[in-house]
Amino acid sequence: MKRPLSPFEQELVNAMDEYAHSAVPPAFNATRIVARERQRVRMRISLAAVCVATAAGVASCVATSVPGNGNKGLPVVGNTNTPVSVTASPTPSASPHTNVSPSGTTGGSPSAARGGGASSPTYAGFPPLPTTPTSSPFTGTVPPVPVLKSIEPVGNFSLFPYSAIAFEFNGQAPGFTARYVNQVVHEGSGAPISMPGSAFLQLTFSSAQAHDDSGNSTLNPPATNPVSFGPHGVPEAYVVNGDFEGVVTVTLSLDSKRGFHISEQTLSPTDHVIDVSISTS
Amino acid sequence: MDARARTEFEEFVTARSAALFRTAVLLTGNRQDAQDLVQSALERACRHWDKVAAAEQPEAYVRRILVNSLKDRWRLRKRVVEVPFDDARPSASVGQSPYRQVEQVDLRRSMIAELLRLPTGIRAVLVLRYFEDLSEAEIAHALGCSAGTVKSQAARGLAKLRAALGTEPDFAASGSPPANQDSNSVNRLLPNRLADRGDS
Repeated sequence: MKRPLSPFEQELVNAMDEYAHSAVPPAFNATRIVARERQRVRMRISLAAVCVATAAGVASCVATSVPGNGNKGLPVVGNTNTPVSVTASPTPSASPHTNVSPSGTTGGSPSAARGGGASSPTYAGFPPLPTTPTSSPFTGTVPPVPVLKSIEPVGNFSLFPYSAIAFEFNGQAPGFTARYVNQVVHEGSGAPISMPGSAFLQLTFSSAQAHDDSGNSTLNPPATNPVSFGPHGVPEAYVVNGDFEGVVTVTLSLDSKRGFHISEQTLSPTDHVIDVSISTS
Repeated sequence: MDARARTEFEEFVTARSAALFRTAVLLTGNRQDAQDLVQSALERACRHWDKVAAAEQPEAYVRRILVNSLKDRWRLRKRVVEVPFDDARPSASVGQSPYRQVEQVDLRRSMIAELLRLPTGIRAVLVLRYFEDLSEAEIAHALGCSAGTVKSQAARGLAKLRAALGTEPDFAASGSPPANQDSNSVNRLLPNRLADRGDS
């Protein structure tokens, strides 16, 4: 009778799973536990035996001299008589308390890690991205041609050394080619386009179109002239410099040649996003 | 402990100690404490193996020991949050977008961090409910409380996590990052956009 999990709960399950499995379990030695347990039991028996013996001894001594007063003192005598046995018995519950300090000093580490990551330029563990051309062929069927609906920056964080631009397509996901070019020109006319920055990453989507049946751009703004991503954007601007015969060309301008990575996300059967991640480090 | 019980116990440790350790990791938030917790739970289980073996589900019995010793041990201790293991680093090489991977890893880490900030009892409920996938009745048995308490504690824990992570009560259909009110699907996926985007 369990109800289905909400996406948040599902994510919690994933997070727990990932976290729990990120630690390699140590080997727990059953044989040693059993042996210790046995030793403990033996210790108890011998301890008890010693107690009884001393008690009996003391009692017999006391019995002859001072009758009656011996009983209350007996357990104490037994304990002090057997220090060796007591220290030798395993006391597992003692260890965690002695280990408080290492964990205590690193309390609240996620925020600390974030702060450190943001201020320092080293991103250990994050792979650098290549600048080499990449492409992926179109695998869908021809009609309908994927329609480019929007070009949106989705992130520019100090947390990660990546920034990302999302190209949203309706219909199917197009194939793409991405490479750095020396000059940006309007396709067809060949008229040069002046863009900020000094490196130009040109993305060619096919099959794709960025206009509707009456020829109006599906983008807002149409971006046939460069559109800025803001004063500190990575990339700095983009332009749609080609939209003809099922091929859409978009160029991103960057301050320098930066590594990039392109991937496809399917949001729904008719809603696809091509993500262009760009190194910002 | 006779030879048969001993073999049984050894088999139990071989089969189940890794799973118990993983639960303990989520309960304690660090390797050392998790190891100590499991070790002491196994020692107690060994001491009372006749009872454990006689129980319907030995694992449930040991889990109960585990959770109880957690309560004993951490009751007076200041809550300590120690998040990820070094090996939980993202590997951005595989198919998915590095940007999104990093973001997802970040979200999951924040979740764990918030989980570890919750009071022990509530955290135990959430771990047993979502990691161990136990029913409310089973959780109630393990924690020695009523099913109603489990229900309310779980709801409280979830609400706290959500509040701490600043997310809407629901996620986007695609799963990972927090949802945004915006209807645009791209923004729904990734809420953090460049604030100032000027047109040329």
